[in-house]
Amino acid sequence: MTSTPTTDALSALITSHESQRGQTILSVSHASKRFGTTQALADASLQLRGGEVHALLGENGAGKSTLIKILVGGIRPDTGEVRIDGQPAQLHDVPDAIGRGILPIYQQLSLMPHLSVLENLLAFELARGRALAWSDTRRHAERARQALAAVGLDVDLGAPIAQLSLAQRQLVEIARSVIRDCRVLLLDEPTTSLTGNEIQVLFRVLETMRAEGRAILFISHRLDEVEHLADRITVLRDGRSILESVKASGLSRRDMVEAMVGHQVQQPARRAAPAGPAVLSARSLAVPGGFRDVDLDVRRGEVLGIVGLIGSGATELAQVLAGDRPIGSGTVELEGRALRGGDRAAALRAGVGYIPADRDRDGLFPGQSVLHNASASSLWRLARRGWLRVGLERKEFSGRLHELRITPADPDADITALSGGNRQKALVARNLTGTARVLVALEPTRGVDIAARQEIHQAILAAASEGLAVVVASSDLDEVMALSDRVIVMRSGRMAAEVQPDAGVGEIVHHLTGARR
Amino acid sequence: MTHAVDSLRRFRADAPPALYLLVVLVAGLTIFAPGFASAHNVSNVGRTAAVLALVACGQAVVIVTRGLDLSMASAVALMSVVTVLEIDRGIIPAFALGALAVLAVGAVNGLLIARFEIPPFLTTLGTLTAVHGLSSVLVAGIPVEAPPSGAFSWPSNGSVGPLSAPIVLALVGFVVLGVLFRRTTIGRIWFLIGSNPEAARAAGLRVRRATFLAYVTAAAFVAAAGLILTSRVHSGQPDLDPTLAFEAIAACAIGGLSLSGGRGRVSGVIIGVLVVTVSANGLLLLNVSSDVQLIVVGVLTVASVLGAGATGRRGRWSVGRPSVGQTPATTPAGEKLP
Repeated sequence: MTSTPTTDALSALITSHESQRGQTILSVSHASKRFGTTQALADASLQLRGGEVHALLGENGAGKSTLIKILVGGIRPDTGEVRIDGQPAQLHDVPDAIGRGILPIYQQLSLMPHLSVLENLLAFELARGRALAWSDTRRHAERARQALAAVGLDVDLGAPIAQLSLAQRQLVEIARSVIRDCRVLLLDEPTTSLTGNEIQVLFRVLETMRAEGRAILFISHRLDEVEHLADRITVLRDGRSILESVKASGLSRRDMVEAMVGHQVQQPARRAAPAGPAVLSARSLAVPGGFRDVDLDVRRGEVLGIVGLIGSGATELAQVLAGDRPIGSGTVELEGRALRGGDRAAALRAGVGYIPADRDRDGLFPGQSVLHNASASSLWRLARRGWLRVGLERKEFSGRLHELRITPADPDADITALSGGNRQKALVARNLTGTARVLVALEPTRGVDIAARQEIHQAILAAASEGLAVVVASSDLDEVMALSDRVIVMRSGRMAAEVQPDAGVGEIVHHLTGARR
Repeated sequence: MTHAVDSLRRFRADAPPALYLLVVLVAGLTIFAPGFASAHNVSNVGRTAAVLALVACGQAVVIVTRGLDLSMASAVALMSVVTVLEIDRGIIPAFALGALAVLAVGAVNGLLIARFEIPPFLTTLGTLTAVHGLSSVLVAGIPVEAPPSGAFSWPSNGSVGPLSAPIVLALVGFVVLGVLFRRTTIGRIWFLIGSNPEAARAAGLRVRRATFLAYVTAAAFVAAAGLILTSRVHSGQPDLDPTLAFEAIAACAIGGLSLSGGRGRVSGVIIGVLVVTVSANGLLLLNVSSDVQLIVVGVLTVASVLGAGATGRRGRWSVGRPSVGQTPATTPAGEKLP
């Protein structure tokens, strides 16, 4: 679906911001912000200069999102000052910031799924109350087409967003910023839903925008991306800028991690590959439009990785194994018993745990407590004749929440009060109850900070060593290699290869793309 | 000290704004409305509130699942009609058949919403109309009287010890609702579905079954209200209390139940019911016409929803970030109904 972005299309759209190169366009100094009892920001500063890519790093809960919201006028800091071009500025709200050329791109996509690509691309114009005259439509459509070409996206302008993949939607968001003549672009984890190819496309777009003299701020948890792209780095920890607008060239990866977590993190130790009996088996499994001819076995205590680019069928395969998607043809068996496809309730009771890819959309229950979020898949087990044994529930899960070091440590806290990493841990706690035989985890650490990621990995590996059969489908190759005993590579709806986790990234990429090394 | 401040803060955050409204209402009416605080009037308010209380309990169940039920008044009217028509079988069998008719309406609602995924608003708007028509057809449009009987009047006029029967029924209703919400699996599942139906399905909850049961359970509360009301009017009336379902929705909204599901407490339902009943009673005592009472309830409803919005839209992922759009309140495929 994606093609190489055409630099011509880009430069046709983008007017030069040459004069602002090297100048501090947007800055915030000594910002603090308190929400209720939580000090989200204590003392954070950063400066965005024209013609530079600035990376904002920090664990979940460090205050990155709060800082971005201050920069786009979404919230006002309790103390501290925002300056635009050196002048103190009061940003009233997000449209105000957008009007001044500061454009946010959110981690959770902000597209309207039932509107067309074109309508979404023009959303800012529409939102500012400028009625689009019929005669403008052609001109806008032309601009929209150029913007899509600039980000290398080949989709129908009239197609509803809902028909696009997550990655394509992300690119539409980027295209929306291309169409606007923005001075500052703020990206909150832009790469989490993208696969290798698309990340390259995005980076090329960002590099072009940088070359045009714009200021770009992006949040990422992937240090390789930061090293690749960033000119300057700011690291937040506990709401403070530990490193503030430091030149990236002088920093090592180790410096960044240390600034983020304050201590050295460790890779989980590799385990000996288990050779137990197969727990979960698929035979001649196929889903129309997804994948076909899949045969696989997952053994007791084994972690099977599944990788594939978007559209390869990897996600769909994992979903079918979890009972979250109907089987087209073929069989899925759990310890010899056939599972009915597309029936999560039956799969759960047979012993299949499931971590969906999009934790906020498909995983968690906003407005409910951490405890109730964690126990949701155990209610059938905790019930006796319809009565919920709430004492047992609390006893079983408060220990587990504690083990996973979920903060705040209050099991009755609303799940929405937690940072992304802690939310994800609640989802992990839901599935690592010791009663399941299989865990199917999609993107188990997407958008999660490094420390939480290590903790989640260790929890999954610990459960595996107690006999849990695990399927991990992730777009993060490092993650798959760190966790898996074997890795299945999906390409164009088929199993392209099965590789060992110690195979190099190069080999896996070779199988992913089918390209020669 | 900080603990006390914290728990006060927590109380203030949890208490629906309607509690303050209720306190002000009661205090004001005690001073200004003659006879408001008299024993006779208090018991009168209690008996009037009982019917609304039971219907609001039913409404609360479906509202928590992100649904709603407009058909409750029609169902109550159907109960009165069926009960009076079947009175020759004896009083208890007649009431049982009436209640069964209400449960049948609930089952139809539940089936259409859970199995066929028709939005609750449209489904219950349909049953509201159709069931009203059915009641009218059964009695050819003319209310039918029940033969005089002390037993028939008991649910509305009797008493248990010092308390009148409707109040006892309403109190039992609140206890049952509280137990359902806090101590049963199905109650927990209702909250989870209301919070995020898509996540409920992915977590392996039987969304369709629970949704179906929500509408049947709501109907059971409505049947209890129908018992009191049928007994009170002592007749079968196709046009019995036509605004009952709306008042119940209003009471839930005033009591702080989120109409987008997943949030609400029994204490809120109680407060909401009392606000609606007490304000109507107070206006009556102040010689304000019943039409004006409707205006007041309407304004209170909208104001309470506005108030809930102003104090922060808790419970959604919208803490400063735009969401992908509301997850549609659908129940997905692949699950059998009981």
